[in-house]
Amino acid sequence: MAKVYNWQLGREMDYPYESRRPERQFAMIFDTNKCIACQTCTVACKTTWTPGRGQEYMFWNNVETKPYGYYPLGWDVNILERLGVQDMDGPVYRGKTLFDAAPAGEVILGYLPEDIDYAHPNIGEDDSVGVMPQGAHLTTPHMQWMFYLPRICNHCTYPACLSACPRQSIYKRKEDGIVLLDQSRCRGYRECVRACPYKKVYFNAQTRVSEKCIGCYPAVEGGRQTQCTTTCIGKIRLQGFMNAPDKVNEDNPLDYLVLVKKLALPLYPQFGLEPNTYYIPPIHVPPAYLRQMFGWGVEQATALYRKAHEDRKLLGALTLFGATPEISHSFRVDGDWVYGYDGKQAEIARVPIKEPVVIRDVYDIKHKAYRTNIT
Amino acid sequence: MRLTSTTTVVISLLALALVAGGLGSARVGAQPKAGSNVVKTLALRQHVDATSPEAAVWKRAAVTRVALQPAFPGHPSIVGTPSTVGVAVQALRTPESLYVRLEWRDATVDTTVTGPGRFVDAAAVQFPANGLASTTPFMGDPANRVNIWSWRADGRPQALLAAGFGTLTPAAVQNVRALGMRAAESWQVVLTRRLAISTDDDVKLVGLREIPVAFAIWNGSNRERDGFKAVTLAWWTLRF
Repeated sequence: MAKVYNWQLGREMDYPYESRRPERQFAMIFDTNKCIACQTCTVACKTTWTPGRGQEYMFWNNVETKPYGYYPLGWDVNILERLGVQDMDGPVYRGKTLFDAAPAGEVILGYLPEDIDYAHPNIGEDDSVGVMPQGAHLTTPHMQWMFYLPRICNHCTYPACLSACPRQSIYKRKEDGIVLLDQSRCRGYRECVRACPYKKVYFNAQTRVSEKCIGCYPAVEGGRQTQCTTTCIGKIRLQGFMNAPDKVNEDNPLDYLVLVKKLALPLYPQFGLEPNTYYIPPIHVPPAYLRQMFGWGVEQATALYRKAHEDRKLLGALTLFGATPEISHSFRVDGDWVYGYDGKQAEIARVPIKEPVVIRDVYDIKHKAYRTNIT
Repeated sequence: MRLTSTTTVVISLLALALVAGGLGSARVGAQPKAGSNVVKTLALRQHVDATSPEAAVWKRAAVTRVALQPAFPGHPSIVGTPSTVGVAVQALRTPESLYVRLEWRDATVDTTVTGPGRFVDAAAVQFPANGLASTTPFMGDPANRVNIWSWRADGRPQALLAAGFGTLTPAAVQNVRALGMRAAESWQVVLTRRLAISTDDDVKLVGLREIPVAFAIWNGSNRERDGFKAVTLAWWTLRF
């Protein structure tokens, strides 16, 4: 095991390979407060990458209802239970990572899901069950809450899948940190499926080899954001590149939201993989739950989000979500507008931070017609 | 990313295993010895099709019982004990082809992969590509490759090459055929290849009196795959 630095844990940790950070890291931010689980992202991904035989139950992108929705079934609670209760107080994580918790002689603590765990994506997640007679109501001992959790591969800095593959079939690209699985090298041993705590490597029973999210690299190489990002009707996603934690660029919207403002937080950082998709936590959910899922910064992040309207630059960065299909390498707020720029500093987005309100006359003189509100 | 301590550990463990296992014949420079670990080949002067495990000609070939042990765990993910303890081996050579017949007990039939938790039964026969017993039987090494004939219960035979742990790669020329059949609670599998071949990669079988050989069996129900398998830990001798 090599010693590597995991900025999300604030400490060094053991990993089977030496640290080799990419030139820039593919990353994505999700605003969970805006997600409505319409699954447009899921369908966009599916029709683009996984419409074939053997891929029926393969969702490189999925959206699940928390706290009781999962894909595959129980993925996070299963590995959390195996890892056991850990101290999550931060700012330095003193608990065990999944690498620390590996059984003797193994690389990482993991488990292989049952086939049935993949069989019912989203079934029953948002449904009430049983007969609901007139006047029925639910009383629970705690406040009622839920939220939607969209997920793709985290393109981790320290990928579990990569570390577990006995054939080095999985690699992390130095140019953008996207984690890819070479299907011509894979022999279907499923060590990666077992090792990935997010269960974002899928086994294809038809081809007998594994597959995973490719970060839409053909789009990303051409300067465009991923399919799941550009098709998001709620504009909840921002995809781009992050710099290493010691080379923060405040004008990069992802660096700004994740590393500077710490508004967007990693998913289960305690696993120790340094995942690179980040979540603006839902502001209405009990912090104790969120702390386990997104780490010790949740209280500050939700407080900051509630006050985002006071911070022009923060508001500008949030307005870039869904503003352009291209990747914003940098951004600038000027007056009431936010501007996004590509890698060559060319303007690719210009969005008003406050949507202008236009009130039209009831009668349209030019067309000699009344404007009626059809809703 | 660069391989670090894992490789070192594996290599030193491997060296340990070679010494501890007393695998004299596997040491570099050693020559194959005609010991008790010999599979005798039935040599025929006429053409016979022995592709089927039920072909009548197999009744004439000697049966050698080969004990199998858990394979050396080439990487840390391999945990557990393989369920197969032995395989009955027969070999037959015609002027054109070499046939190897394997029969082993396996009460569970794993012929299809329906999902991530299912693995298929499989068998393999391994030769040193250079024909020398000085090649390590543990998947070879970069200078001394092994040539593997593999059969899987989903019907896929493959010719493979390996130059150490984690390097198994399908051969450029796919020249191996295999047929497996069920009999009561066992598998019967015949793997075959023509003696003359068009590639320099694979093991040469023409004009030999004997060749080192090793065997491996996987039980899918026991989630055996990869290096989680029952094997011969040292070369046997296939004598023509």
